[in-house]
Amino acid sequence: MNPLPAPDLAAPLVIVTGLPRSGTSLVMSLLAAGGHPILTDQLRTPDPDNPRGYFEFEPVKSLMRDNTWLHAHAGQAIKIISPLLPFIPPDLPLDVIWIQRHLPEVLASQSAMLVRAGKPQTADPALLATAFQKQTLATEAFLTRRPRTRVLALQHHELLQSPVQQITRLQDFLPILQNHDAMLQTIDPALHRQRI
Amino acid sequence: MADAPRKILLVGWDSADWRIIDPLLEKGLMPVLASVISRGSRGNLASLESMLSPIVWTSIATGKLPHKHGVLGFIEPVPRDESSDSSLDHGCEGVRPVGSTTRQTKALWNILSEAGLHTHMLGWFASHPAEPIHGICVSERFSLTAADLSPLENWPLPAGTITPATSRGWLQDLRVHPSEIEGDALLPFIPRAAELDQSDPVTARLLTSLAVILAKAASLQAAATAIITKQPWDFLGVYFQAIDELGHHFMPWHPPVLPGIDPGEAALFGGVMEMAYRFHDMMLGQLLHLAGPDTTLVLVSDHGFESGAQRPGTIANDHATMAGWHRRYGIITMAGPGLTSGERLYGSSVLDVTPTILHLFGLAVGEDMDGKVLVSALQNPVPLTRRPTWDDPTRNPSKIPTPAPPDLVVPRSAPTTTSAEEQAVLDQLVALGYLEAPEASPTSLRDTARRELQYNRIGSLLEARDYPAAARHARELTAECPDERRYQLKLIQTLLHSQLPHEAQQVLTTLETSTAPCAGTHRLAAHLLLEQRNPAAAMARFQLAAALGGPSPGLTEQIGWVLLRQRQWTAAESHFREALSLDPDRPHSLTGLARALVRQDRDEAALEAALGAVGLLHFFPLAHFQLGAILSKMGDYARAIRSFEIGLSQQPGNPHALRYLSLLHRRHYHHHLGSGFTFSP
Repeated sequence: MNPLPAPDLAAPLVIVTGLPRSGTSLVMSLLAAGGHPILTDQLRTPDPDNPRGYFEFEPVKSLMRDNTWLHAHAGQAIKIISPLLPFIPPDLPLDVIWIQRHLPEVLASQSAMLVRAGKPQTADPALLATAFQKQTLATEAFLTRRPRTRVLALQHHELLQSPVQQITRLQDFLPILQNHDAMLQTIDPALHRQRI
Repeated sequence: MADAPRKILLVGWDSADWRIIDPLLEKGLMPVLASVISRGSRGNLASLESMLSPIVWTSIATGKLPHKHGVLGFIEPVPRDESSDSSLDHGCEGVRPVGSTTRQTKALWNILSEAGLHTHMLGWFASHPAEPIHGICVSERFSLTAADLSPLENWPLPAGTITPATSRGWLQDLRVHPSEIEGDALLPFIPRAAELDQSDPVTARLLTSLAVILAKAASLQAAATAIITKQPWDFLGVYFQAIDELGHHFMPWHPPVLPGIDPGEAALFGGVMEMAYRFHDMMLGQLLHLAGPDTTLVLVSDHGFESGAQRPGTIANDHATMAGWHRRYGIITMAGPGLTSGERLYGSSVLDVTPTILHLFGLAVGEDMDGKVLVSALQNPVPLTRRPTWDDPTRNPSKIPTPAPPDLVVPRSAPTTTSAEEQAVLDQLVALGYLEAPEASPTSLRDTARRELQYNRIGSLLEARDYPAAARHARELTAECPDERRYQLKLIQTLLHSQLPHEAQQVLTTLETSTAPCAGTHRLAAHLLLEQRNPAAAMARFQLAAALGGPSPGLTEQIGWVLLRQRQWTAAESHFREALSLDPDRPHSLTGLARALVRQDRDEAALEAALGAVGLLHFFPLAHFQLGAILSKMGDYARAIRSFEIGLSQQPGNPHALRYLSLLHRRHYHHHLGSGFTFSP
């Protein structure tokens, strides 16, 4: 009887994470350009806040209630904002691309997005800033502790200022990414608004 | 008890069920277990109302109901004043898995260590971080697969997994990595595995799960056998989760083929469960061989696992419905020096394991324990010794901090967030469109975990018949979450037990006016109507419940009890028999059947049913009273008195039972007079 090959342990789920408006859509567009399988339903279409699109997947919004569907998407890249990372099933291996942006720029971008949507600012900016600072530390602690988790941390400004080096880092992290030039063309420094 | 120093091996097989084991025994496919049973005793082991593994395995290890031992679920909120620690936190913000620090009372291994016995524990549920004992403690994280796709050499053992630290090095090398479970090892479980399309993600995930589960079991087996052979030991406990885990993956394909299951898939995967049990039998054989012939074995499971027509569906690993696959009765078998042979153990419960083991070691049983010593398993039972408690009131042993190993690199802990900060983030994420609206999602995982623990606590308090405390917790829970139907139903159930039918009716009325009816509301409405002595209306509600929820042994049984009230003995008998045909292990159906039969003057059959009821569930006052009444009718007054005394010890002050007992004593006295007995004052 021919022996079976050892069962392949589940391919990691690739997570693009960060605070909202930290550059997660940009990283998703890079992965798409590089040929990585992307999980998105394109329900949120491109707009002035994200001219190239959001690359989101609607079920992520209710991850706190139901996370079982994630198991079926091993090997794909999905955008999950950092406050929702703890709701990923702990037995799923992850490759995490964590993009971080200067917090005042994040908050300014969020504020601009709310203004464009005609929605009021929901909380005291100082309270929100403190909360997001703690959120960032919590994300670091979580990713450090989580078993079967690889992490690549990217800085938003480095991605825009030194795209060649940062794309190379991405390709080293995810060897499936092949098309360096296509990825390079995705980055447009003109889209870096709310500079602080 | 035996004169030689006793050695006890406690083995836990999660979800092991006689309904799968017995056919395998008959076919000679579990020879080790067959040998154990032939020289020892066996029985059903009644589980708890909440059949969640961390809860029940902690009750097994403490002899106490969940609200006493404090482990009430799978996860718990991290206290806001406690920073995260990598040895404790599994990575979910604000919550962590329950562990040894959750437990509020001493476990068996703590007590035995205190008594100076060489004690070793491996892999027990909710045992992380490992506690310092008079031996080796290996927590459940030992076999947790923490490996990524890196080679075996880069597979770190979580901190806090093993005490003492000097055992860490040689034990961690005994772990089996899933990648070491090669294809040949899986073939006994899936003989036609070569036909499988491994590129299919679902198939790949199944095979991976199988390899991971087997690797976990093999790791614990390796550690247990190494400790037995290398270390002095008086007690060794080892827990295997594999049968439950495999059940949640593969039981839908176990024969007979369920409607909705692809016969081709059943042919491929239908043999996994049988092989799982045979694998455990082989492991047991190795353990017993190494432990030696004078070892006392106690083999238990926390609950059973549906494997026949009562399987609740075709998916067993959906988190929302997993517990529905668990059956109320697990297994117990015991064999060793001084234990009975060929005995059937009746009325055993998961709460009885620790008291029994303590008694076997000649140690006192805590009066605060809820279980009893299984004296019927002992050849020559010696008098029981008791003490108020093994817990030191000045110190909670479960809070003794385990020193972090020196090589532990503690990552920077995140500062805790305030409620206002959490709400600010939540509101912002909803406004930006990254999160669904708050009314559809829980406020936080921490709050959800806290509420689930409280919900399970209510179940434990009901089991302990502490109805005022149960009602208080149920009211708090429903006040916090008035829209959660499950909590409302639990409150109504609690109020009924507390004999507060008016309040129960108010809650039910509010619930029925604000939500669509469900089987649960109809059933509770029926019980309220029975309280109001309206069995006809109650029957109508039960039938509505059946229409919504489909036939079930529980509902059929409840209709049987209504028919008894209406003195429709034959119809009642028919319903109880139907319930038992669906699930033979139903003590309430057996008691109801006994009543229906005795009313038809079929006393022998009634007696058999009544004995079956108390044999399944010892703590069941009504069953003991029913048995006593039947024995009395048959003229066996001595045994009838004994049954009533047992029932009254469980439900003191029952006026009907007291009157009946008094009458029985008079009859018993006159019976002896009639047989020539002369009373001399």
